[in-house]
Amino acid sequence: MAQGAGTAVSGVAFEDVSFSYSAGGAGRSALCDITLTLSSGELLAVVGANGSGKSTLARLCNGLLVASSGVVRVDGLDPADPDLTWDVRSRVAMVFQDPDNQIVGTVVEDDVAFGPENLGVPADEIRRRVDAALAAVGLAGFERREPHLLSDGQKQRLAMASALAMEPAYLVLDEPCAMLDPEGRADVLALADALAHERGHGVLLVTHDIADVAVADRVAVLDRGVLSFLGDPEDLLSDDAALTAAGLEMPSIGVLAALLRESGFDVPRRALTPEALVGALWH
Amino acid sequence: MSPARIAIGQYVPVDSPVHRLNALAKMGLVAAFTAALFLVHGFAGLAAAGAVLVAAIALSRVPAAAAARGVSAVAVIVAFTLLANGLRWRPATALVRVGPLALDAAGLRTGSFFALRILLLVIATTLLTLTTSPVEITEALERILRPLRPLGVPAGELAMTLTIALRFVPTTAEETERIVTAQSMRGARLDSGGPLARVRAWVPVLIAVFFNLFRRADDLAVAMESRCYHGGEGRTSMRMSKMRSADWVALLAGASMLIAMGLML
Repeated sequence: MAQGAGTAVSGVAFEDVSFSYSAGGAGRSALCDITLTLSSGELLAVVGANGSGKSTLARLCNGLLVASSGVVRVDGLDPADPDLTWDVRSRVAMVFQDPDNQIVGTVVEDDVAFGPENLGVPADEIRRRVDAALAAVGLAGFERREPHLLSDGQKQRLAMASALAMEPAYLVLDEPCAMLDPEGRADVLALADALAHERGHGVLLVTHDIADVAVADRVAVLDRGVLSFLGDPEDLLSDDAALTAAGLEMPSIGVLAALLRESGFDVPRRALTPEALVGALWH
Repeated sequence: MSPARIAIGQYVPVDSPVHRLNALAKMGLVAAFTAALFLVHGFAGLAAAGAVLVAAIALSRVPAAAAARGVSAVAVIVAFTLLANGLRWRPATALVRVGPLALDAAGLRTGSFFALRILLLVIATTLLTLTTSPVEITEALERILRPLRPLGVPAGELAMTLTIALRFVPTTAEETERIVTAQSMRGARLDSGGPLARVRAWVPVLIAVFFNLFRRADDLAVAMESRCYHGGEGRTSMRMSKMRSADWVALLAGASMLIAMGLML
């Protein structure tokens, strides 16, 4: 199945990748000379303001878009190679922003089965995968529920189950929390955390909300198509100038935490939700 | 936003032998029933068909009122069939005369034969949709169309299109409700004025709905491609909805019985 995997380096690797939506590279590039790698078991957050190229980067991972220059490799495979399209897409699963616009099935289990059905997986094996995926996202017991009767947070977890049923090595979550209420958002982030750190998937979490980087191992900041920061989230959170330059805003809880630190409280920089902050102060 | 429970079709989700019967077998039986209705040449045949139908409804545990609901939709057609056959122009013998027009016994007999046939047909197909979920019907349609694939009939794609349409009926209904609310709050008057004014008031609503549908279609296509959808080729199905031996027995025995009944009565 994995031809050309002899020289395979595992991971989703970007090498000097540029992308322009206008043909011939005229006009401004949406992405400019991006080099980064997403590894298994890692949660890499990609943050940036609107129009920074985050979603473009996400869509380059599974060949929905093809780099104008530079190379993208998924476990050594080229997503732009038409013969490898479905192989690559079964390795890199995507979850999108709008929960309603990515659910295909008329009931929950049918939607989860959709991916494996497309891959030609035998019926018994699909059943096993559907049950496992729904259990992994905490939706066991919802098999026969109609999607429109789920909350947005549940719909988004369903989308993640549907992605998992393809048994991908990597998951690309393109702003999965943008349309969710705080509760749904917390669920999805906790799930992303568990998928990377307990189940060993490589997870790319695209977000415009700086608070989401709290669960990430590394964070990449995109500023108008350029990678302006790649490293430890704590280093980013302590660098106000870098945040401001990239058009990102520290959440008010982060500002409060900074004031507390100035007054001598020991508050970790990742404490970016009220719960995390209270927890940190309590200990 | 109320999570309004929008019923798709008329499916009554209870457990019964009729519900458990494979959709393909049920569709085959409805086809045989239809054939029998057109084969019978007397009221005895229609009565037998009616008895079969009553037994099937009883077996399905579907409320009889639900099964009769389809009848109101064809009431006009039934009445027209009855009158078109019953009314004569200045007949020799008549039951009731209204000027030159009159109701004739022989005509009424023919009329009620045809009307009863329509009624039984409608009730039988209603029973199919009452006991079979839209998804099962879609799957069965795919099975029926599959042999036509070499002729260029995209069976899998048609079934997928139907499934997606079903999936988005409630979503679109909810969205329409939301747009109506939003426009009403800004002074749109959708439920007053003459018919023309009302139609005109709905235009902006429909434009918004259609705009969103195109956006959705775009998003959905990308999501489907990301999940490796590339047409019906090489696709498997989790539910397969296999015809078990019991389904085959029910279909073959039931169909031959119905046809025999049609030929004899």
